[in-house]
Amino acid sequence: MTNTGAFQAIVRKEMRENIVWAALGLILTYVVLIGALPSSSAQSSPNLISVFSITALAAIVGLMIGRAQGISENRGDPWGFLVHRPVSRSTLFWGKVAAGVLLYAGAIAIPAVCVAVWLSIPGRVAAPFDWRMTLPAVADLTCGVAFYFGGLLTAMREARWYASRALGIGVGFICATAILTLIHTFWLAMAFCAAGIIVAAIAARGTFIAAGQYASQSRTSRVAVGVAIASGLAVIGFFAVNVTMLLTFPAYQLPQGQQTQSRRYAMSSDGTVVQLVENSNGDLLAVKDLQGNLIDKYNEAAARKAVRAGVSAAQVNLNPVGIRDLAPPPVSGYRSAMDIYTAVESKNTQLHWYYIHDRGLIAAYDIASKRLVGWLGPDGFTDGATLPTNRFHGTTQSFRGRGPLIAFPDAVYDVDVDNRHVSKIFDAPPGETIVGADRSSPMEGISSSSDTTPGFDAIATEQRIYVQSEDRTPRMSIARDPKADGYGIAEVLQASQAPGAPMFVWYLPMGGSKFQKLSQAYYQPQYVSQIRSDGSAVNPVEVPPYGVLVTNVKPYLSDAVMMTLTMPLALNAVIYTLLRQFLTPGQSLAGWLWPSLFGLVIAGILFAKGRRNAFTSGQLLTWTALGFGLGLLGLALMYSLIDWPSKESCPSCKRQRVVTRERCEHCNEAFSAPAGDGTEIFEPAEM
Amino acid sequence: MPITISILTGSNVSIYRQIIDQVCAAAFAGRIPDDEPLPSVRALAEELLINPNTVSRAYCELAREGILESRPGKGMFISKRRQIYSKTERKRRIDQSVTSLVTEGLMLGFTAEEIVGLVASKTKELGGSR
Amino acid sequence: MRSATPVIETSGLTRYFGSKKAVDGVTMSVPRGSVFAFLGRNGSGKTTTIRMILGLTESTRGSSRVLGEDSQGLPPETRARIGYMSESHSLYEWMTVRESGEYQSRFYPRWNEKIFQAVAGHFQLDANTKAGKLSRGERAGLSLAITLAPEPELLILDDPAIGLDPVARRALLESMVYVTRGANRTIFFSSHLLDDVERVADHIGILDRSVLRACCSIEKFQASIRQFSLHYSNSAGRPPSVPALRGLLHVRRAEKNIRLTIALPDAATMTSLQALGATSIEEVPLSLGDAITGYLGDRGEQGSFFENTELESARSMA
Repeated sequence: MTNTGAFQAIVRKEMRENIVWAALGLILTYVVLIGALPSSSAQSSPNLISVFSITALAAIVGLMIGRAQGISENRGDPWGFLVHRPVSRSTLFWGKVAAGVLLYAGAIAIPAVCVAVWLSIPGRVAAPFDWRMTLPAVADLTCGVAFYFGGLLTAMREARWYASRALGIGVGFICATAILTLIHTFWLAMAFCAAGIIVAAIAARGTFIAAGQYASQSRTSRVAVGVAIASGLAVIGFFAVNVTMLLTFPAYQLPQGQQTQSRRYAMSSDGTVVQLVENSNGDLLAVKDLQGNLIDKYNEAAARKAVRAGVSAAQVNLNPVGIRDLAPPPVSGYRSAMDIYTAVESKNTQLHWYYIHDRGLIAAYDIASKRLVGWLGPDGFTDGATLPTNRFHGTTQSFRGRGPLIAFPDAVYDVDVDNRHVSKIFDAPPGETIVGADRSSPMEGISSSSDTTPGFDAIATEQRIYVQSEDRTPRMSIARDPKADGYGIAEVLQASQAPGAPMFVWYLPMGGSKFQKLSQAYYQPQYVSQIRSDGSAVNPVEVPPYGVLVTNVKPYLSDAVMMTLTMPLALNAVIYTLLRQFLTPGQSLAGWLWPSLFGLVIAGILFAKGRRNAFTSGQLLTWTALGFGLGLLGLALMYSLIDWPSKESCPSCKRQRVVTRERCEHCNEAFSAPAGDGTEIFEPAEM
Repeated sequence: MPITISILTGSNVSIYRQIIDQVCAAAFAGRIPDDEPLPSVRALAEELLINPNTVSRAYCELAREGILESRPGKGMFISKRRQIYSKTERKRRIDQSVTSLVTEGLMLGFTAEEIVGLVASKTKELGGSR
Repeated sequence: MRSATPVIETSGLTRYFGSKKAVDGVTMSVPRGSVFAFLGRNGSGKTTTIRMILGLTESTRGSSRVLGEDSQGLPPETRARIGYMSESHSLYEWMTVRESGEYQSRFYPRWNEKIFQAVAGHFQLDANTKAGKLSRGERAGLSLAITLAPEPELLILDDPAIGLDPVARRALLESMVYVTRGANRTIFFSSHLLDDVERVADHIGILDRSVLRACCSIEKFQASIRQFSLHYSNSAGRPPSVPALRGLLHVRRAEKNIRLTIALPDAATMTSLQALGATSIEEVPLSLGDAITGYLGDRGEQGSFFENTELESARSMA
């Protein structure tokens, strides 16, 4: 920037002109933030982090300011007045952006910081406050900058109809969708938004410099505009497909009597592993044995209903885990308080309880005064805000905020918040590390009051699984099955109605350390065996993997048509590569073949269109490739971006030629000067 | 006393010609002192709100015709030896004026003698005693 | 400084809006130091041409150079040497007169505050009035003040006098004449006010329905447009119809008389005129305004366009 005085002048002028929009954004932000403040009730503990989830708000404020800055002087004489001054258009653009981003950030950040500071004062809300809870607002603020540039781009871009102009917002939408659904790490979210901002900024800058035209922009900004518009088209396409699916829903329903069925395996009340056949509503249709034969005694619906009566289970983790593994995203992640604390369920109507991970203590908040009133630790309850010295050590290995057990690598505690009581129920044997613990609960809910069998606690270490009564009497322990090495979960089950009330251990692959992807786990067999009180395993059963359980789902023609029309080949390539293992060769081929053929047709259309409009060979190649790779999206992109030149008949070769080229693309004849009528008066060329 | 030039736009006489005519008339009538410069090009242009190039061209033309002369560093002055027009030009000009005078006079109902008498007395009045 | 290089030079400059040609193959050059009047009827493409010259609008075809630089992508240093005033006298409405000057001055390495004050004073602008509250004439004054203060080498004014009262118009003319004080200052302006053109312009360019028909010095133009009056005495009968003459701009017919306005008449033209059998042929001197109006008007034979339109009131009187 050669002329800092000019730059400052632009920034100040832009600030002055758009302060009203910023003020509007500021008020809006206050209203939204204050409206989102949780009210404390005995039923549910307030969640402060949701206050700072302001993606939509940031998007609206960003768009509003960006649009206002772009639209005010994008055409005609105001545009001339803006750009006819001795500074580069780039400087003008960045001056606008500096002011706009400052205003935008102020409009969001000032209220957000105020609300955060207010919340940080004790006595506001009956829940812990941590500054990390404001991270979603920081990410959303960043995401809103992509919308800001989208607003600028939309205001600046010369497009034939307004809908196509607004497509530049697509980058913002994609950033917002990504940080809300896919990305659960703060820095990753920031990086993603930064990438979106860069694309949108390059597109907006190029469009500004070219006064809204597309063709005269640099290659880089043309690509950026293309990406921005394609994002918008993809968002619209996504909605269009969903609406179409909704409207044509009857076509997706199965023919009469042909409901989707699924199978799963469960422990029955008599202590055998059975196959349950259910329809999509969850109705139990049949109970079969592992070989797939119907079991006669379950022919009656009433009998089927009681198939799992008396079975209780405790589920323990088999791998050392962190909070993220216990509560995988999106439950955890920077947009969730789960990374910071876990709310503990309680019947108490005066207090809310939170297990705070960093502290290793459970905090009690008084609902009425909204203040921290005490801590629950290994030594029991301490009144007041003073932290007790003795705390839980190590990473919580198993705690869902329900069930009373909380496991640490060295010990398991029974936490009873209602009675403000904590007792250690298990110490890790020497050389062993605890990885999970759970108290048993009946499989079929608390239906059978006749069930008087006492419950049990199951504790898993890295070597063994321990079972003890609720009164801490050890019942049995068993070495973990090496076949299930790397599996994620073990269920300890007791079929109390079966003779001798046998106990079983059931290994589930899900969440195991061995599997990079969930899909791999679905292809692993499950292992079930009965445990004797001496710790030996008997009657091992291998249960088929989940992956092949879904039956009766056929691809439908409408699916195929929809897929072909909407799925760009490029996207298909990604999806089909990811899903390869789930597909039969036939499905896979169809998934490739139809989009490829369709892509070829679209590529042909784009090629012909480009030829008729005298594209350079580079442009032709690019658009043909885009048509092939993106299908309908490529076609829509071309129509959104290209300003078709008008055509005239060439006086020399009589064919239609575009008016934007100096020479005819067919016969290379230059345009002739306008015909004279004999009244022309010109100075002689050389005096 | 410096001369006053005024111009009229929208006339079929160009501004350039109007300046020349007025300077000529003033020079011929002896209304421009020999030792006093004419207004500078810039001054006259700004006074009349016209293009300085026009003034400058008019002055050049007047100098070429020998009515004005340029004294370096001092400005434009009326020429001492003013041989204003060529013989034919003089003839053409007087013809033009006489035609319009006579037409006007006849139209207003004056006789030829009366017109000649008026011309003679006017000539005397303006000092053309030759 | 080579004053021979034109300050503005266009070649085949063409602009389409959709399929309509707004500017068609304009090739012209504006000599350095000239006051160039750019004329044409409304909608003939003057503003579009100016905007292309300044690189504010892209040309569909053709090229244009200003002060030796391509119009598309004028470097800031070149823009600093060009003053431009748009038709609407764009200003930031919320800035006061003083703020407008201060804001503009931040951009120009050479800013003559005296000129700004002089022009603002001339238009009697109050430094604390907001631009949005100024009258049309005052607005033009402020616009002119900020345009002139950087002492531009080339001044481009798009219809600066539009909507101005006579006093403001005079102030505008004075400012334009003032600009020509500097050596080799060029003014390129479009206007509909032919008196102003006659006063200050020495070159003209004329756009006729998006085509540049004339581009020359005022003298050359005035010498090229001539009007002849053909009289027909009673014995000569009714004036004949006029054949297609080269350069014929305009025919005005009365009962015993035809007036022909002709561009660039030559010996052949005169012969053709003589062949029309008139009793006498007389040349009618034309003012510059008449010449331009004749040139811009519809070509061919014209009566008054009210010729066949009786006044309703006149008819009822009869």
